Amino acid sequence: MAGCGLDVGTSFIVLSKDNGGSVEYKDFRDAFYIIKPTTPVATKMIEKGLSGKVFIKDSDGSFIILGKDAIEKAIERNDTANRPMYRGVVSAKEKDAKRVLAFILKEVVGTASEPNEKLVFCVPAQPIDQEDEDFDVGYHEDVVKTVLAECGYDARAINEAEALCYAELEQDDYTGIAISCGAGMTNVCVMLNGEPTVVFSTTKSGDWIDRMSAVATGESDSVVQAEKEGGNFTIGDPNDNPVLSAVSVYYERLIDYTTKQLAHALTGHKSVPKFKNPLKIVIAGGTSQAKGYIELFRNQLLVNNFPLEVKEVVHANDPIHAVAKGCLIASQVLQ
Amino acid sequence: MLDNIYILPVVIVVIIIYAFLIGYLIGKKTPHVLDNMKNNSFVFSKQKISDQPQVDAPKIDSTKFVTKIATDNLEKKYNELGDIQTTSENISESVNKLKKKKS
Repeated sequence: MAGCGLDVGTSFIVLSKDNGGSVEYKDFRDAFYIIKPTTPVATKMIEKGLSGKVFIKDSDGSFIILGKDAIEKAIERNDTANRPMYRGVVSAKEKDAKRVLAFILKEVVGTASEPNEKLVFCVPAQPIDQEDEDFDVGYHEDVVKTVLAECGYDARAINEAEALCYAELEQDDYTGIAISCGAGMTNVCVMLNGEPTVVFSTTKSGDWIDRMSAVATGESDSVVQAEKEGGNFTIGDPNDNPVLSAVSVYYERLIDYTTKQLAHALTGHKSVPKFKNPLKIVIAGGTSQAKGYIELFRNQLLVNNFPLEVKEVVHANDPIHAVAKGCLIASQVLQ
Repeated sequence: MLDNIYILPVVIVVIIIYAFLIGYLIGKKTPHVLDNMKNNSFVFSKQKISDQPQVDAPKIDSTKFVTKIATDNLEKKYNELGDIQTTSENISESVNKLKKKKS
Protein backbone atom coordinates (compact mmCIF):
# COMPACT_ATOMS: atom_id res chain seq x y z
CA MET A 1 0.00 0.00 0.00
CA ALA A 2 1.33 3.45 -0.87
CA GLY A 3 2.06 5.87 1.93
CA CYS A 4 5.11 6.87 3.90
CA GLY A 5 6.07 7.79 7.42
CA LEU A 6 8.74 10.37 8.15
CA ASP A 7 10.41 11.09 11.46
CA VAL A 8 11.88 14.57 11.08
CA GLY A 9 14.15 14.54 14.10
CA THR A 10 16.83 16.88 15.39
CA SER A 11 19.47 14.18 15.08
CA PHE A 12 18.05 11.72 12.53
CA ILE A 13 15.64 11.84 9.62
CA VAL A 14 14.00 8.45 9.14
CA LEU A 15 11.74 7.51 6.24
CA SER A 16 9.56 4.41 6.54
CA LYS A 17 7.78 2.52 3.75
CA ASP A 18 5.53 -0.51 3.85
CA ASN A 19 6.61 -3.29 1.50
CA GLY A 20 3.69 -5.59 2.35
CA GLY A 21 4.94 -7.77 5.17
CA SER A 22 8.12 -5.82 5.77
CA VAL A 23 8.99 -2.22 6.55
CA GLU A 24 11.87 -0.40 4.91
CA TYR A 25 13.63 2.34 6.89
CA LYS A 26 15.98 4.91 5.44
CA ASP A 27 18.02 6.79 8.07
CA PHE A 28 20.07 9.89 7.60
CA ARG A 29 22.02 11.81 10.21
CA ASP A 30 20.64 15.33 10.39
CA ALA A 31 23.90 17.28 10.38
CA PHE A 32 26.03 19.40 8.09
CA TYR A 33 29.43 21.04 8.07
CA ILE A 34 30.52 23.82 5.73
CA ILE A 35 34.05 24.23 4.39
CA LYS A 36 34.70 27.41 2.46
CA PRO A 37 37.91 27.23 0.39
CA THR A 38 39.93 30.41 0.15
CA THR A 39 41.88 29.69 -3.06
CA PRO A 40 41.23 27.69 -6.27
CA VAL A 41 44.01 25.28 -5.26
CA ALA A 42 42.39 24.74 -1.87
CA THR A 43 39.08 24.05 -3.64
CA LYS A 44 40.63 21.23 -5.66
CA MET A 45 42.46 19.79 -2.64
CA ILE A 46 39.36 19.85 -0.46
CA GLU A 47 37.20 18.26 -3.16
CA LYS A 48 39.79 15.50 -3.57
CA GLY A 49 39.88 14.99 0.19
CA LEU A 50 36.12 14.67 0.32
CA SER A 51 36.07 11.83 -2.22
CA GLY A 52 33.70 9.10 -1.05
CA LYS A 53 31.97 11.40 1.44
CA VAL A 54 28.41 12.67 1.17
CA PHE A 55 28.67 16.34 0.26
CA ILE A 56 27.22 19.03 -1.95
CA LYS A 57 28.82 22.00 -3.61
CA ASP A 58 27.20 25.39 -3.15
CA SER A 59 27.06 28.09 -5.82
CA ASP A 60 29.55 30.23 -3.83
CA GLY A 61 32.15 27.43 -4.08
CA SER A 62 31.80 26.15 -0.52
CA PHE A 63 31.40 22.48 0.32
CA ILE A 64 28.54 21.31 2.52
CA ILE A 65 29.28 17.91 4.01
CA LEU A 66 26.18 16.03 5.11
CA GLY A 67 25.23 13.41 7.66
CA LYS A 68 27.69 11.39 9.72
CA ASP A 69 30.50 12.53 7.42
CA ALA A 70 29.80 16.08 8.62
CA ILE A 71 30.30 15.02 12.24
CA GLU A 72 33.51 13.16 11.36
CA LYS A 73 34.88 16.17 9.48
CA ALA A 74 33.95 18.52 12.33
CA ILE A 75 35.73 16.30 14.86
CA GLU A 76 38.76 16.14 12.55
CA ARG A 77 38.89 19.93 12.62
CA ASN A 78 38.20 20.13 16.37
CA ASP A 79 34.92 21.82 15.64
CA THR A 80 31.20 21.11 16.05
CA ALA A 81 28.93 20.06 13.18
CA ASN A 82 25.85 22.19 12.48
CA ARG A 83 22.29 21.02 12.73
CA PRO A 84 19.53 22.11 10.33
CA MET A 85 17.15 21.62 13.25
CA TYR A 86 17.26 22.82 16.82
CA ARG A 87 14.99 21.43 19.53
CA GLY A 88 12.72 19.63 17.11
CA VAL A 89 12.07 22.49 14.68
CA VAL A 90 13.93 24.11 11.79
CA SER A 91 16.77 26.06 13.32
CA ALA A 92 16.41 29.83 13.39
CA LYS A 93 20.02 30.12 14.52
CA GLU A 94 21.60 28.53 11.44
CA LYS A 95 21.57 30.71 8.34
CA ASP A 96 21.67 27.73 5.96
CA ALA A 97 19.40 25.49 8.05
CA LYS A 98 16.25 25.76 5.97
CA ARG A 99 18.04 25.18 2.68
CA VAL A 100 20.06 22.22 3.95
CA LEU A 101 17.01 20.67 5.64
CA ALA A 102 15.02 21.04 2.41
CA PHE A 103 17.82 19.39 0.44
CA ILE A 104 18.16 16.47 2.87
CA LEU A 105 14.40 15.95 3.02
CA LYS A 106 14.09 15.92 -0.77
CA GLU A 107 16.94 13.43 -1.06
CA VAL A 108 15.65 11.12 1.68
CA VAL A 109 11.99 10.97 0.58
CA GLY A 110 12.52 11.18 -3.19
CA THR A 111 9.63 11.73 -5.59
CA ALA A 112 6.20 10.38 -4.61
CA SER A 113 5.33 7.01 -6.20
CA GLU A 114 1.93 8.41 -7.20
CA PRO A 115 0.54 11.95 -7.28
CA ASN A 116 -0.45 13.15 -3.80
CA GLU A 117 0.84 10.03 -2.07
CA LYS A 118 0.01 10.25 1.63
CA LEU A 119 2.95 11.02 3.89
CA VAL A 120 2.71 11.56 7.64
CA PHE A 121 5.57 13.30 9.41
CA CYS A 122 6.06 14.11 13.06
CA VAL A 123 6.31 17.46 14.84
CA PRO A 124 7.12 18.18 18.48
CA ALA A 125 4.60 19.42 21.03
CA GLN A 126 4.77 22.80 22.73
CA PRO A 127 7.37 22.68 25.51
CA ILE A 128 6.21 23.12 29.10
CA ASP A 129 9.56 24.21 30.50
CA GLN A 130 10.51 27.08 28.21
CA GLU A 131 8.93 29.87 26.27
CA ASP A 132 11.13 30.43 23.28
CA GLU A 133 10.23 32.83 20.49
CA ASP A 134 12.34 30.77 18.09
CA PHE A 135 10.23 27.71 18.81
CA ASP A 136 7.62 27.93 16.07
CA VAL A 137 6.07 24.51 15.35
CA GLY A 138 3.59 26.02 12.87
CA TYR A 139 6.36 27.49 10.75
CA HIS A 140 8.39 24.29 10.94
CA GLU A 141 5.34 22.30 9.83
CA ASP A 142 4.75 24.69 6.91
CA VAL A 143 8.40 24.44 5.82
CA VAL A 144 8.33 20.62 5.83
CA LYS A 145 4.94 20.52 4.07
CA THR A 146 6.17 22.91 1.37
CA VAL A 147 9.25 20.79 0.70
CA LEU A 148 7.26 17.54 0.62
CA ALA A 149 4.60 19.05 -1.64
CA GLU A 150 7.38 19.88 -4.12
CA CYS A 151 8.19 16.15 -4.13
CA GLY A 152 4.55 15.32 -4.90
CA TYR A 153 3.35 14.25 -1.45
CA ASP A 154 0.14 15.06 0.38
CA ALA A 155 1.86 15.55 3.72
CA ARG A 156 0.25 15.77 7.14
CA ALA A 157 1.78 16.28 10.55
CA ILE A 158 1.16 14.41 13.79
CA ASN A 159 2.72 14.72 17.21
CA GLU A 160 5.95 12.75 17.65
CA ALA A 161 4.89 10.92 20.82
CA GLU A 162 1.44 10.23 19.36
CA ALA A 163 3.19 8.41 16.49
CA LEU A 164 5.11 6.39 19.07
CA CYS A 165 1.80 5.37 20.70
CA TYR A 166 0.55 4.06 17.34
CA ALA A 167 3.72 2.02 16.90
CA GLU A 168 3.98 0.54 20.37
CA LEU A 169 0.62 0.45 22.17
CA GLU A 170 -1.37 -1.90 19.92
CA GLN A 171 -1.39 -4.72 22.50
CA ASP A 172 -2.69 -2.28 25.12
CA ASP A 173 -5.64 -1.16 23.00
CA TYR A 174 -3.79 2.07 22.22
CA THR A 175 -3.96 3.15 25.85
CA GLY A 176 -0.88 4.24 27.78
CA ILE A 177 1.95 6.76 27.72
CA ALA A 178 4.66 7.16 25.08
CA ILE A 179 7.84 9.13 25.66
CA SER A 180 10.10 9.95 22.75
CA CYS A 181 13.56 10.93 23.96
CA GLY A 182 15.12 12.58 20.93
CA ALA A 183 18.23 14.68 20.62
CA GLY A 184 16.56 18.06 20.97
CA MET A 185 13.47 17.37 23.05
CA THR A 186 11.53 14.85 25.07
CA ASN A 187 7.98 14.43 23.77
CA VAL A 188 5.18 12.89 25.81
CA CYS A 189 1.72 11.64 24.80
CA VAL A 190 -0.96 10.20 27.08
CA MET A 191 -3.35 8.12 24.98
CA LEU A 192 -6.75 6.59 25.69
CA ASN A 193 -8.20 4.15 23.15
CA GLY A 194 -6.28 5.68 20.27
CA GLU A 195 -7.05 9.28 21.16
CA PRO A 196 -4.25 11.51 22.45
CA THR A 197 -5.50 13.26 25.59
CA VAL A 198 -2.37 15.09 26.75
CA VAL A 199 0.70 15.98 24.67
CA PHE A 200 3.63 18.11 25.73
CA SER A 201 7.40 18.29 25.51
CA THR A 202 10.41 19.32 27.54
CA THR A 203 13.42 21.04 26.03
CA LYS A 204 16.19 18.99 27.63
CA SER A 205 17.41 15.76 26.08
CA GLY A 206 20.47 14.30 24.34
CA ASP A 207 21.85 17.60 23.04
CA TRP A 208 21.67 19.04 26.55
CA ILE A 209 23.83 16.13 27.79
CA ASP A 210 26.34 16.78 24.96
CA ARG A 211 26.47 20.51 25.65
CA MET A 212 26.85 20.19 29.42
CA SER A 213 29.45 17.42 29.11
CA ALA A 214 31.35 19.47 26.52
CA VAL A 215 31.48 22.44 28.88
CA ALA A 216 32.57 20.21 31.77
CA THR A 217 35.36 18.49 29.84
CA GLY A 218 36.46 21.21 27.41
CA GLU A 219 35.69 19.05 24.38
CA SER A 220 33.47 19.99 21.44
CA ASP A 221 29.82 18.86 21.32
CA SER A 222 30.59 16.61 18.35
CA VAL A 223 33.41 14.84 20.22
CA VAL A 224 31.12 14.27 23.20
CA GLN A 225 28.36 13.02 20.90
CA ALA A 226 30.72 10.57 19.18
CA GLU A 227 32.10 9.31 22.52
CA LYS A 228 28.57 8.97 23.91
CA GLU A 229 27.29 6.99 20.95
CA GLY A 230 30.34 4.77 20.57
CA GLY A 231 31.43 4.50 24.18
CA ASN A 232 30.71 1.67 26.56
CA PHE A 233 29.14 3.11 29.68
CA THR A 234 26.22 2.49 32.00
CA ILE A 235 24.31 5.36 33.55
CA GLY A 236 25.20 5.65 37.21
CA ASP A 237 28.35 3.49 37.00
CA PRO A 238 31.79 5.09 37.47
CA ASN A 239 33.84 5.48 34.28
CA ASP A 240 37.55 6.14 33.74
CA ASN A 241 36.87 8.13 30.56
CA PRO A 242 36.25 11.74 31.69
CA VAL A 243 33.83 12.44 28.84
CA LEU A 244 31.77 9.32 29.53
CA SER A 245 31.91 10.01 33.23
CA ALA A 246 30.41 13.47 32.63
CA VAL A 247 27.87 12.03 30.19
CA SER A 248 26.77 9.48 32.78
CA VAL A 249 26.25 12.15 35.45
CA TYR A 250 24.27 14.40 33.11
CA TYR A 251 22.15 11.43 32.04
CA GLU A 252 21.19 10.93 35.70
CA ARG A 253 20.28 14.60 36.04
CA LEU A 254 18.30 14.55 32.79
CA ILE A 255 16.24 11.51 33.83
CA ASP A 256 15.55 13.04 37.22
CA TYR A 257 14.47 16.31 35.55
CA THR A 258 12.28 14.57 32.95
CA THR A 259 10.48 12.39 35.48
CA LYS A 260 9.93 15.41 37.75
CA GLN A 261 8.46 17.35 34.81
CA LEU A 262 6.25 14.39 33.91
CA ALA A 263 4.94 14.06 37.47
CA HIS A 264 4.41 17.81 37.75
CA ALA A 265 2.64 18.12 34.37
CA LEU A 266 0.26 15.22 34.91
CA THR A 267 -0.60 15.82 38.57
CA GLY A 268 -4.10 17.26 38.62
CA HIS A 269 -4.19 17.75 34.84
CA LYS A 270 -7.84 18.11 33.80
CA SER A 271 -7.39 16.22 30.53
CA VAL A 272 -5.82 13.11 32.07
CA PRO A 273 -8.50 10.37 31.91
CA LYS A 274 -9.43 8.17 34.86
CA PHE A 275 -7.71 5.00 33.69
CA LYS A 276 -9.24 1.70 34.80
CA ASN A 277 -5.99 -0.23 34.70
CA PRO A 278 -2.33 0.53 35.42
CA LEU A 279 -0.59 2.02 32.40
CA LYS A 280 2.21 0.89 30.16
CA ILE A 281 4.89 3.50 29.54
CA VAL A 282 6.91 3.01 26.38
CA ILE A 283 10.15 4.89 25.77
CA ALA A 284 11.97 5.37 22.45
CA GLY A 285 14.47 7.70 20.77
CA GLY A 286 18.23 7.81 20.43
CA THR A 287 18.80 9.30 23.88
CA SER A 288 17.06 6.33 25.52
CA GLN A 289 19.61 3.89 24.09
CA ALA A 290 22.18 4.37 26.86
CA LYS A 291 22.54 1.35 29.15
CA GLY A 292 20.55 1.76 32.35
CA TYR A 293 18.24 4.46 30.96
CA ILE A 294 14.95 2.54 31.29
CA GLU A 295 15.79 1.16 34.76
CA LEU A 296 16.71 4.59 36.11
CA PHE A 297 13.65 6.15 34.48
CA ARG A 298 11.42 3.57 36.18
CA ASN A 299 13.02 4.25 39.57
CA GLN A 300 12.85 8.02 39.25
CA LEU A 301 9.15 7.91 38.38
CA LEU A 302 8.57 6.32 41.80
CA VAL A 303 10.94 8.68 43.58
CA ASN A 304 9.32 11.74 42.01
CA ASN A 305 5.74 10.64 42.82
CA PHE A 306 4.40 10.00 39.34
CA PRO A 307 0.62 10.46 39.79
CA LEU A 308 -0.65 7.56 37.63
CA GLU A 309 -0.50 3.85 38.35
CA VAL A 310 2.15 2.23 36.16
CA LYS A 311 2.06 -1.38 34.96
CA GLU A 312 5.48 -1.37 33.31
CA VAL A 313 8.11 0.89 31.77
CA VAL A 314 9.48 -0.65 28.58
CA HIS A 315 11.85 0.22 25.78
CA ALA A 316 10.40 0.30 22.25
CA ASN A 317 11.27 -2.73 20.12
CA ASP A 318 13.21 -0.50 17.75
CA PRO A 319 13.88 2.80 19.58
CA ILE A 320 15.36 4.61 16.55
CA HIS A 321 12.63 3.65 14.06
CA ALA A 322 9.54 3.49 16.31
CA VAL A 323 8.34 7.07 15.60
CA ALA A 324 8.78 6.60 11.82
CA LYS A 325 6.81 3.34 12.08
CA GLY A 326 4.00 5.14 13.92
CA CYS A 327 3.92 7.80 11.19
CA LEU A 328 3.72 5.04 8.57
CA ILE A 329 0.77 3.41 10.39
CA ALA A 330 -0.94 6.83 10.57
CA SER A 331 -0.40 7.36 6.82
CA GLN A 332 -2.08 4.01 6.07
CA VAL A 333 -5.00 4.83 8.36
CA LEU A 334 -5.51 8.00 6.30
CA GLN A 335 -5.79 6.02 3.01
CA MET B 1 -76.21 79.39 58.40
CA LEU B 2 -72.92 79.52 60.27
CA ASP B 3 -72.41 75.83 59.51
CA ASN B 4 -72.81 76.59 55.85
CA ILE B 5 -70.17 79.30 56.08
CA TYR B 6 -67.65 76.74 57.56
CA ILE B 7 -68.55 73.92 55.22
CA LEU B 8 -67.19 75.66 52.13
CA PRO B 9 -63.61 76.27 53.45
CA VAL B 10 -63.55 72.76 54.89
CA VAL B 11 -64.52 71.32 51.50
CA ILE B 12 -61.92 73.50 49.82
CA VAL B 13 -59.24 72.38 52.30
CA VAL B 14 -60.22 68.72 51.80
CA ILE B 15 -60.10 69.19 48.01
CA ILE B 16 -56.67 70.81 48.31
CA ILE B 17 -55.38 67.99 50.56
CA TYR B 18 -56.87 65.42 48.17
CA ALA B 19 -55.31 67.22 45.19
CA PHE B 20 -51.99 67.32 47.05
CA LEU B 21 -52.15 63.62 47.79
CA ILE B 22 -53.00 62.80 44.17
CA GLY B 23 -50.20 65.06 43.02
CA TYR B 24 -47.81 63.41 45.50
CA LEU B 25 -48.77 59.96 44.33
CA ILE B 26 -48.44 60.98 40.67
CA GLY B 27 -45.10 62.57 41.53
CA LYS B 28 -43.97 59.38 43.23
CA LYS B 29 -45.07 57.34 40.26
CA THR B 30 -43.63 59.58 37.51
CA PRO B 31 -39.87 58.95 38.21
CA HIS B 32 -40.48 55.16 37.95
CA VAL B 33 -42.04 55.69 34.59
CA LEU B 34 -39.05 57.73 33.52
CA ASP B 35 -36.68 55.20 34.98
CA ASN B 36 -38.48 52.44 33.17
CA MET B 37 -38.31 54.41 29.98
CA LYS B 38 -34.60 54.91 30.49
CA ASN B 39 -34.10 51.25 31.36
CA ASN B 40 -36.20 50.14 28.46
CA SER B 41 -34.31 52.30 26.04
CA PHE B 42 -31.02 50.92 27.49
CA VAL B 43 -32.21 47.36 27.26
CA PHE B 44 -33.45 48.00 23.80
CA SER B 45 -30.17 49.43 22.63
CA LYS B 46 -28.38 46.59 24.38
CA GLN B 47 -30.63 44.10 22.66
CA LYS B 48 -29.92 45.83 19.41
CA ILE B 49 -26.18 45.31 19.99
CA SER B 50 -26.52 41.71 21.09
CA ASP B 51 -28.79 40.94 18.14
CA GLN B 52 -25.86 41.72 15.87
CA PRO B 53 -23.64 38.71 15.08
CA GLN B 54 -20.71 38.33 17.52
CA VAL B 55 -17.54 39.30 15.64
CA ASP B 56 -14.09 38.94 17.20
CA ALA B 57 -11.71 41.83 16.94
CA PRO B 58 -9.95 41.65 13.56
CA LYS B 59 -6.61 39.91 13.77
CA ILE B 60 -3.81 39.91 11.26
CA ASP B 61 -2.30 36.58 10.21
CA SER B 62 1.22 36.97 11.55
CA THR B 63 2.34 33.38 11.00
CA LYS B 64 5.74 33.29 9.34
CA PHE B 65 5.53 33.05 5.57
CA VAL B 66 7.47 30.22 3.96
CA THR B 67 9.49 31.67 1.12
CA LYS B 68 10.73 29.53 -1.75
CA ILE B 69 13.55 27.35 -0.55
CA ALA B 70 15.94 27.11 -3.46
CA THR B 71 18.03 23.96 -3.52
CA ASP B 72 18.72 23.93 -7.28
CA ASN B 73 22.03 25.71 -6.80
CA LEU B 74 23.36 22.85 -4.67
CA GLU B 75 25.40 20.43 -6.74
CA LYS B 76 25.14 16.80 -5.61
CA LYS B 77 28.52 15.08 -5.19
CA TYR B 78 27.57 11.58 -4.04
CA ASN B 79 25.68 8.54 -5.27
CA GLU B 80 23.51 7.43 -2.41
CA LEU B 81 22.32 9.23 0.69
CA GLY B 82 21.11 7.40 3.79
CA ASP B 83 21.32 3.87 5.18
CA ILE B 84 18.54 1.45 4.30
CA GLN B 85 17.35 -1.25 6.67
CA THR B 86 14.45 -3.65 6.16
CA THR B 87 12.65 -5.33 9.03
CA SER B 88 10.07 -8.12 8.82
CA GLU B 89 7.18 -6.22 10.40
CA ASN B 90 3.61 -6.55 9.23
CA ILE B 91 1.78 -3.36 10.08
CA SER B 92 -1.55 -4.25 8.40
CA GLU B 93 -3.06 -5.57 11.67
CA SER B 94 -2.10 -2.40 13.52
CA VAL B 95 -3.52 -0.28 10.70
CA ASN B 96 -6.85 -2.15 10.71
CA LYS B 97 -7.17 -2.00 14.50
CA LEU B 98 -6.42 1.71 14.56
CA LYS B 99 -8.80 2.37 11.66
CA LYS B 100 -11.61 0.74 13.67
CA LYS B 101 -10.74 2.88 16.70
CA LYS B 102 -10.73 6.06 14.66
CA SER B 103 -13.95 5.32 12.74
